[in-house]
Amino acid sequence: MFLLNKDEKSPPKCYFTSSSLAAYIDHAQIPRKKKPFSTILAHTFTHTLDIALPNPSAETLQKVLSNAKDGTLHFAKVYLKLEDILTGDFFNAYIKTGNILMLSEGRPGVDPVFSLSDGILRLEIDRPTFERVGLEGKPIPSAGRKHIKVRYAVELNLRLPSMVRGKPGFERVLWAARNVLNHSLAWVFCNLREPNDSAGPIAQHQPVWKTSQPQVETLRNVLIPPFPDHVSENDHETAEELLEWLSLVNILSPRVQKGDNVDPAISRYEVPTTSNESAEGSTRDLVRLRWRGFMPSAFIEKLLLATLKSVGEDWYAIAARSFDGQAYTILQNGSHTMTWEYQG
Amino acid sequence: MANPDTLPPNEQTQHPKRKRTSTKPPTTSITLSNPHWSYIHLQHLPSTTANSNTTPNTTPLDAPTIHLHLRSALTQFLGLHGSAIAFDILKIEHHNVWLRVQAEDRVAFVAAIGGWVGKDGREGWRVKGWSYWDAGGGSDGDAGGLFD
Repeated sequence: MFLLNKDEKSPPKCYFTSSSLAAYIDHAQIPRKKKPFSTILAHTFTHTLDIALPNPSAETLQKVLSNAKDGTLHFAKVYLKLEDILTGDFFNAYIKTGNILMLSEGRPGVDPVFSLSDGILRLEIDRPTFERVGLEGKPIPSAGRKHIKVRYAVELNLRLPSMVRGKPGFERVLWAARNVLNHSLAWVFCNLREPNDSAGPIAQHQPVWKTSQPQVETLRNVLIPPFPDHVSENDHETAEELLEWLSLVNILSPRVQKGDNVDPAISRYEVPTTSNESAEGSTRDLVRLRWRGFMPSAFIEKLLLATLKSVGEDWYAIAARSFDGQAYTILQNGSHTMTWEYQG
Repeated sequence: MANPDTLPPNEQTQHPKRKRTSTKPPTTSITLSNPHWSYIHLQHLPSTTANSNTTPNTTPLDAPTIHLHLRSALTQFLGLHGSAIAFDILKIEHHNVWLRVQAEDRVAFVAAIGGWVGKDGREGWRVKGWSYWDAGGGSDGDAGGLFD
């Protein structure tokens, strides 16, 4: 090859896990340390979420979501300086006592990116900026890549008792916000305590409130590959093929539909089948629901529980994509959970 | 190996307490690291001709036309090697096209398509994202236009 994959950061990796989920999930005690819940919680800032499921259960889910209003996402876009977050009512009501999720604009790995989650403010900045802010931080590991500027992450727990006006540590943060990181930035904002409350201290910054309803699409006569009950450790192919099929369903590709007799010059994709040709009856109408917006993991967890309940013994798939390029896909087939976590 | 079902009957009687067959399949983890494919999300940039409306009302392309476009781009840029790169058209939606190419051909493919311009010098393709795992082609920091 004369064009080598030089921009390769590290060999691409996709972490696949096959596990089982208890038949009954107590909503008061969600097993958050187990998959699929741990996967959802590991991704804090999600912007696109797809749920794909077969038809009868999809109708149930849509009814459940429209009755409970769990399917509506509320968030806001707002222009703020870092100082606005660290002072006044905004700081007291949202960070010290409330719980909000915020993320600033900027390309991850290139621009300065600020985020706020569980009271922890994270500033990802380049070296010149880091040297000027005068705060403690850590270099972000770059996996030994050459010719890449080192970036630094400053993490500040704003809920600590020492983080109040007058304490030197906090005054330094304020100084940095006033003198170095003093640009007005676009942020997305989500109030985790009261998602619908638009009257709080954010109101004085002229936020643009947005609600996101799922966009519902139906894909008819989809060939369903056989879902394994168990995936053995060296069965890479099954894991790869299932992920490919799921992501094709999520883009509503006609290649997974029955009777898609496309010319092999256009596409050679074929839905994986079992070796014995008895899988003739496995076509179903699938529904894909897609949310776009600023999604906290709690919102996704709620959707997963609603989906789990509507689906019963049937299967469903959830795919989510984060702002930092991380993505995951979950396939739940009865009690069998399969998760894929990957970058990009 | 320790599955009680597969044990010979005499051994099974020796361990009557372990008879409870576990229906739970064990948890397995696999790290996939050699992707076969890469998925590329392209946007067709139609030539905005003399009557330059801001909304180009050109008809979306169909699969054979896209195939010819991309094939010509690959051959122009990479000659014989380019004509040997195979790609699969997975989905067409308005001016967006999702493709699959062999993972090792990705860099060459993106370079060829990104540099290609049509006969009038205006038509072209924009690579919106790519992924090794997701046919949706990733989002590459687009973030769904939330900050726009």
